[in-house]
This record gives sequence, structure tokens and C-alpha cells, in this order.
Amino acid sequence: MTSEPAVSKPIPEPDEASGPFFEGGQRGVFMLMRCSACGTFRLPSRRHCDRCLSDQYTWEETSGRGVVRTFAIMHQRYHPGFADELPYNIALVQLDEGPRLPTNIVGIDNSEMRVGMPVVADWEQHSDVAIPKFRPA
Amino acid sequence: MTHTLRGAAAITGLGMTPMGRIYGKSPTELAADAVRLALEDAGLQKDQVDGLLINPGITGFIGGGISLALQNYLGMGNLRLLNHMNAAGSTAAQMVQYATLAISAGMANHVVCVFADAPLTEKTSAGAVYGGAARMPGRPKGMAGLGAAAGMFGANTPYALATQRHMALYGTTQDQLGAIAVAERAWATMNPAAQMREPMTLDDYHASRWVVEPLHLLDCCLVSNGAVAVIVSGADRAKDMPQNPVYVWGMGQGHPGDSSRDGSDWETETGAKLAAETAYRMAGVGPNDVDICELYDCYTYTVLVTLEDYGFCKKGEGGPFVEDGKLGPGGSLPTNTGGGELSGYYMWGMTPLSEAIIQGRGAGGERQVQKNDVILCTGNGGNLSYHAALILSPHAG
Repeated sequence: MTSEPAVSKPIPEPDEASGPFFEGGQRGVFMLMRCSACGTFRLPSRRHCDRCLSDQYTWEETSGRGVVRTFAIMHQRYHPGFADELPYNIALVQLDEGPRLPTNIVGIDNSEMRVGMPVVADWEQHSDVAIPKFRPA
Repeated sequence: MTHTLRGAAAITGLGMTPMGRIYGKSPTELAADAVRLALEDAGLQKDQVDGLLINPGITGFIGGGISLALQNYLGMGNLRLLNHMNAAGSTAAQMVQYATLAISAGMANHVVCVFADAPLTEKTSAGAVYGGAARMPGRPKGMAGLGAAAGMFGANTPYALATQRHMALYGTTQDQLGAIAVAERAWATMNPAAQMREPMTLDDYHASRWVVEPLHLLDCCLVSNGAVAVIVSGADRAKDMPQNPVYVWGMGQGHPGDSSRDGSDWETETGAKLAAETAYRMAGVGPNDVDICELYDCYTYTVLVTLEDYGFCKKGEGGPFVEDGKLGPGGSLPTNTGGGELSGYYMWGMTPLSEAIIQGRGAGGERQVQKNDVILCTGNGGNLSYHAALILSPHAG
């Protein structure tokens, strides 16, 4: 009999469309892809703008600030990498620049989570990538 | 002016296999059982069927689901209409819609619409089946992996996020969500096909464990193995068939899609709103005319937001609307009268559709609702991303 092996959390692997985002995170800078034609930010980043379908874009440094649009507290053990952290918060953060992303709010008790609370990015560093977490602003 | 398609087609056959933790048959084999039962129910020979629409459940994504090849397993040749469809939980209602359109266009006479799923084995938990990214080996690719990196797994999380926002904006309470679960369980106690038939109280609801707060276990649907087939026929043929026809009065769809983008209020305003406009207009009815609701209820919250979007109450007032128990037996708006997906069985959109057919036929036995003239039947899929509606009636016109 062997005990269950330690499993790490899923760590995203940068790809062509997301490279600058994750590289920015390693420097603590919140980079977003922006449509050159209509100015809409693209998150997740992708070839075509989901507003105007242009395939032209630039990368811009953004504020990394936003608000908790909504949140939930996970109690279910879906993935062994998160087993030790249950129950943990999951938040949908609305960035000041418009886009939204799923994340966790760090440095706060689950009971203090509120819809609408202002937050700021707090990058979690890994060997080849950084993951955007947020903390109360 | 009456819409030309109102009452043009009817549901003439219904076949349901045992549903729940039943083992030993593949989705394809379950589908064949359901189709055989539906043909017997409709009094049709297999070669009278000239249309086949196929919808797999979660096995369509995780493997083993029914495919276009089901046609061959069923031995159906010379079909004039065939497709394999998957718009998640909205598909069942959509299949009836496309069948109705095809029949009205003279493309087919009798269309079989079938759903089958068997994701459960004796060892798997219901939650694991719908774990999504938690099942994926290796590192998730790019920004699509941000959800998994945040520990966001399964369908439960997005619905918990939506529920939380409704609670924050409108003051919706856990008691109000619980009232939906309790009402549906009360219906399920009268449904021999339901998986959860033990009576349940609001205290039981509150005592059930958190899955993803604010969703308790009893806010979440079941996961079931099984299959359901329905047959849609032209109204001219339906009147001479053995079962009381259940006519299609109205049809509509609304699909906001994946709504992470700026400006979307996906959590609290769903595709149901758009579908409702289209379906009500076609049927020539409004919410005040609806006698019975059979609403897709993957979560208690889905019922609440759907009732709002169909205009049974104002946006944000779903909580107080359901709190008095009006959805349950003896209530003013009988809803999910077989126990729904929460307490009955989880056959995606076939859950509300099968019960709508039973109620429309007057075949509900102990749970039959006496006034069944107008029945609203809805399907919802994705993260409140896809929605389809049927308005059904035992009356031709």
C-alpha cells in the first residue's frame, strides 16, 4: 500500500497568446492584450477581439485594480492539490479596465469576503510563471 | 393573429428507462431501450420513424456518449432527418423545436428525440463526474488555466458565483433557495420514478453540507444514468395516435454564451428572457396563462432566476416569490411536479420535458395538476449560457 502522492495545484503553462500576461506577472505588472481597432481589452487574450473581430492588438500595462464582482467558498475536494486549503474562496474580479477573471483573494478570512470590495493584484510566483491573485485594496 | 406553427406538431411518444444509480448498460444500450419504449407508447413501428435527433449527456464530453452511430445501432435506415446535437441542457427542448420545424416543412413525419447518459459507475461520486478541469492531467494551457489555478472546478462553482451575486444585489436568502428544494422534494415523494422520495424539511436543507457556498448539497441536482426518448409527430397524425397528444404551442431560444466579458450580467439575467419573448409570442400567452412550470433546475437558483426571466415576478423578487411554497403541491404555481433534477432524476433537459409530457397527458397520477392547459418547459445549459423553451398544451388550438 502506498499513500496518495502529493499532487501540486494546476499551474497554467504560458502559450503564445498568454506569454506577455504571465511574463508581466513575474515582474508584478498586470499586462493585458488590447484591441488596436476598438480598444477593448481581451481576457483571456486571443487572436480576435470578441467585440469587433479585429486581429490587431497591442499589450498594455494596466492597473491591476478591480472589485470582487461575486465570490464563492469551495468546500468540495475536487483536486488533491487544494485539499489542504478547504474551504477556500474563489472570486470573479472585475478589473477597472473592464475584463473579468477567476481568482482567489488572499490575506482575508472567508467570512470577510464581500461583493463589491476593492482589490489589487498580488502575483503568486512560480518557477516559470506567475498567477494573478488579489488582496483587499 | 394565431401563429401558423402554434399547434402544428405534438409529442406523441415518451419512453423512459429506469434512471439513477442503475448499472450494466451503456448509453447506446439505454438509448435503444428508451426508443423501444417510446415507439410502443406511440403505437408506431420503427420503420414509420423518419427522423432521429441525438443528444448525449456528460458522456458526450468525457467519453462513451451516444453519437451519430446510434442510428446504426437502432437499425434506422432511410431517415429523412438526422443530427447529433449538443447545446448542453437546452438540447432536449431544442430537439423538439427542430423536429417541429422539420415536420412543419414537410421534411419528416415522426421524429425521435433521444437523450442517454451513463457517467456513473458503482465507484464514482456524482461530483467527480462533473469535476471538469480537475480531471485533466498535466498543466492547463494559457489563460484558460486561470480557473483551475484558482481551484475553480465543476459546474457547481459558476452557479454558486451567480447565486452569490443575486443574494448580494437583491437580498435573496438561503431560506428562499431552500423553499425551492423543499417544494420539489414534496412533488418527488409522489413520483415513482424519482430518486429522492424521502420527505424533506427546510431544516434538512440547512443541515445538508456545503458544496460550494452558498450552495448546499440540496441546492444541487442529482447525477443519473438512464435514457429518455420522445417522439414528435404532425398534429394531423397525432390526433389518431394512442396517447393524448401534447401540442407544441410556443418555442424560443436565448443564448448569452460564455459571459465573462465586460458588461454582461450573466449571473442574474439569463437567456431565458429572450427565449420567453419568442415563445410567449408564438403561443399567444403570457406568464399569467401558465398553469404548470417544468423548469431546468440544475440548482435551486436556476429555478429562481428562470421564474424572474419569464416574468412570473420582477427581477430580484424571485426569493420572496418562491418563499411561500407556491411551487409545491397545492401551490398557485405548480413547478417541477416530478421532483425535477434536484429530487427526481437528472436527464438534462429531458427531465423537465418528460414531466411536462406526463402532466400534459393527464398521466401524473397522485401528482397530476388538475389545470394543465398551458405548460412552460425550459432547458438551460452551460453556466446559464444556453436556454430553450417550449410552451406545451393538451389542446390542439
